[in-house]
Amino acid sequence: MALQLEALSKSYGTVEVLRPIDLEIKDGEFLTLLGPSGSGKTTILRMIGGFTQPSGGRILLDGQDLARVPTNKRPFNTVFQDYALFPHMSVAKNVGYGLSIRRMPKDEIARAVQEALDTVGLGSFHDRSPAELSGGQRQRVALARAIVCRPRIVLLDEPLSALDAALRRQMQGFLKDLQRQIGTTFLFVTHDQQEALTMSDRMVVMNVGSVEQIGSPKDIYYRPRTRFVASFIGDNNLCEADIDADGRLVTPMGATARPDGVEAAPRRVLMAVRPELISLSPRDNALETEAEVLSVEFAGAGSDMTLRLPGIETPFTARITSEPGQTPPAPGARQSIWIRRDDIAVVEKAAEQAP
Amino acid sequence: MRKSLAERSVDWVLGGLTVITFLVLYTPVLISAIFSIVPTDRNGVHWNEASLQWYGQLLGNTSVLNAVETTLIVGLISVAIATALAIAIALYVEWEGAMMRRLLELFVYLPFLMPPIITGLSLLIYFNGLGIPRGTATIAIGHVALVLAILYRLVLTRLQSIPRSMIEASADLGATRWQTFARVIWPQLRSAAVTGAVLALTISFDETFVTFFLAGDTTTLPLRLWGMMRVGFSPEINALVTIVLGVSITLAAIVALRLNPRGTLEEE
Repeated sequence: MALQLEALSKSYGTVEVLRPIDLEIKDGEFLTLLGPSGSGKTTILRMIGGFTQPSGGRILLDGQDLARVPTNKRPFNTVFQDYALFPHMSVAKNVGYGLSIRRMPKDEIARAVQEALDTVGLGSFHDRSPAELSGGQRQRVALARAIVCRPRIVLLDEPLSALDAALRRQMQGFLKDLQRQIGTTFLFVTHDQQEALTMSDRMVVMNVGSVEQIGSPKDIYYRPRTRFVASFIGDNNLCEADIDADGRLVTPMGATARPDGVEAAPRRVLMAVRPELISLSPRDNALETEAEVLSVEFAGAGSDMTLRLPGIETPFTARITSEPGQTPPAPGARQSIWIRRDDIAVVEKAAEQAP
Repeated sequence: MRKSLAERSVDWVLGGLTVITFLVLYTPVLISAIFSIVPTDRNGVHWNEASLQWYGQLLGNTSVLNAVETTLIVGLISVAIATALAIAIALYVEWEGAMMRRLLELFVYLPFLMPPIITGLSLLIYFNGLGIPRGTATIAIGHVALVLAILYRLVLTRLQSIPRSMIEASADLGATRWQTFARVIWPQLRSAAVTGAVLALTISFDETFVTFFLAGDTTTLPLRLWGMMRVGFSPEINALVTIVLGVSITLAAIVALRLNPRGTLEEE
């Protein structure tokens, strides 16, 4: 059963920071809450941890309501954004803190601490003080401190945001491997969409206090269901299109067969196409059109080509893999492009037009 | 690079002012100290007869010794109580979201900020009204009211530098509130509390005005000194002043060493 959120909500006075949300967190999964600041993602994490009181709804662990269970009795441990290591304690004392509170015998604590420190690759750092550690090392100590008590869920509150880019990449891989290795549920909060796509089994995309979409990283990336998700996650080309009475998608480039999971009722929708899914060579089952090249930017691994498509106001961006020696089309040239029908995501407008 | 004449003259003026200031401030102190050792009379200063006899006489003076005892008892008890109170109030204000925080802090600071004559007099009227006899206990209560502000300020500053997430982390790892205080907060608060306590002890040690109103028949060291001076100066007074100064300066030096220049506290 694991953890269930039922209509969980939070308001401060009249400000609703989290609209009622339902969510199930499965045992052993790596679930990410992704959203810009003010989206309510940290509020969810803090309510699960017991640091913030919900305004409404319930948090159930294996079917049991946690409302009356205080933070120190919840089987969760948190990795805080600022790590919150105790500055007056050695690394070993920090990691062993939870166990010594539980009155575990000293030799068992020492063994568990050693194991946890080995797991995070700091096996020889016992006697260091937190002040002597680098940011990445503190991060690992905080992680060791959170996993050593074997919690049901590890709550991670933007733990990588204070690290520089290279270290962050490295820690992402490390965290994911660690989670697989110990098999504990990780609930990870971040505003970094690349981080969420890399690490998550499932992700919850949030915006201004409500859930926009829940799904696997691939789902979210290729099948965004709202304009926010389509534009927040990665780059996307968006334009208006229609669904006709037969459920077919009618685009300025032509019509396609009825996309999966789209209701057959005439209406305006948005279509979204990833820049890397626009092809300069013929593809099967694709829409074809002739575009005007506005500019070409070399970007190392590829080139970003800005294109004016007939009947579409906003220019599209196409990401073309460069091959050395190959000359990309010059600005002003006419260029035929192909977009596979399956690569077009349909984003309903209805939801966002509602007041 | 060599300094110009103008620059050097500025250095000289500033240096000179500093020297004069120190002379004005510390010459009387030095003279008391000297005259507590060297006897003087109408014929002048008898340098060759320097001795510690006046200190010896003080040691034999039971009323002075009693005053010292009272001063120490009052100091230790009032500082201990004020430290505990300051920590409790600071925790309440900082973490429990005290109601009417501003007002509460005003009450803490007021006895220290008001003229001592007001603080002393109002306490006196209060104890009188309640029919509490004046003595060591009332002096101690007066000193608690006086030094609480200093202890509170130092403890609160340190407490505010402990991030909230650290307290949350402790609870998150299973600690009760009491365990969190004992294991996470107190170890980080201790140095500030000790510094504040030493500073408070310095103030309590030579506090005169408030004590004057609350003492009754009891005598503290500063009151005893005051009483002795009314009957005329004696080398014994010089000896007593030197002792009071010595203790005060030592305590103040301890505080100064523990406080770093920005007024925050150094890590232990």
